[in-house]
Amino acid sequence: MNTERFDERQLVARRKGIALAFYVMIIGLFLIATIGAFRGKEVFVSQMALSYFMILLGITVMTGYWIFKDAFLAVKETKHIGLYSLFYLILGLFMLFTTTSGTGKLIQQGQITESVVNFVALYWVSTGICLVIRNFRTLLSAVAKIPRRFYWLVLVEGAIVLISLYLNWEKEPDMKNLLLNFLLPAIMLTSGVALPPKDHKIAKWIFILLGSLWFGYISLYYLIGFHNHLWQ
Amino acid sequence: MKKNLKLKAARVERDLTQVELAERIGVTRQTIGAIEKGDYNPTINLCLKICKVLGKTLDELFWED
Repeated sequence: MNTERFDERQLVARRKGIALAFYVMIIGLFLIATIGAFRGKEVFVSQMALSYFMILLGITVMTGYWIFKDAFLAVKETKHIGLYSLFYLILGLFMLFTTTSGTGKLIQQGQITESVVNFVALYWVSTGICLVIRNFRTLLSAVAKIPRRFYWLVLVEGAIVLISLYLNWEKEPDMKNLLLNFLLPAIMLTSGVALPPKDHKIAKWIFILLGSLWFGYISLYYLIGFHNHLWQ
Repeated sequence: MKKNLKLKAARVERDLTQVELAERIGVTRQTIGAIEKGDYNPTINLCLKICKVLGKTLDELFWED
């Protein structure tokens, strides 16, 4: 995001958001220290866990403030609000999906561990949800403008994943692994197709090229057993 | 701050929506909305840009009676 593209009201709001996040972090640190002193035991297992938490807290407060003051996306970016919301939601859900195994160790012996960093996934999801809520009307008109090829691509990708699941049901020991292998290239390819060509020409074609190569390889791997040691 | 009804009237007179005015000036629609509602006090630079697009003077749009 280019700062020069924000208008003057947005720049004021963004500065206020940074200040607010700073004060929240200071108050948060004070509260955590006070709670620790009363308990006679630190709230966080290490300084690193505390740092992760404070950075996440600050970034979340700042982003939330920016979104609700319409200062998160630059002037030109607000046209593509649908894409940005989708991007944050999908990335957040992907991260949630991949980090759920770590969240079990969040609290150990009454102390918060470094696993708190996994909450970064929640940050991405909540940013996507906030963007959707704040820009619901704009989003509805943006969805109506999404080209048909986007829906066709999602449909084809979904069909390939379902067929792969069917073909590998007995062979593949871990279905989560199969879904994860498809997820990232699918996101890359879909993002490439969905990106508006005018503003992101180079990124669009890099995403399409890498996404189609990667998705193609994974499809061959699961559909015909290309390089797949389980297919013998 | 008071609502800026003069700005809204001048915009409607020119048959422009908030989105169209915002695009011509290079700001977000929300910024135009905030100025009209009196939630945001624009800088002189932004006032001048608005005046030029709407063909009005600073007095006509931003002078409070």
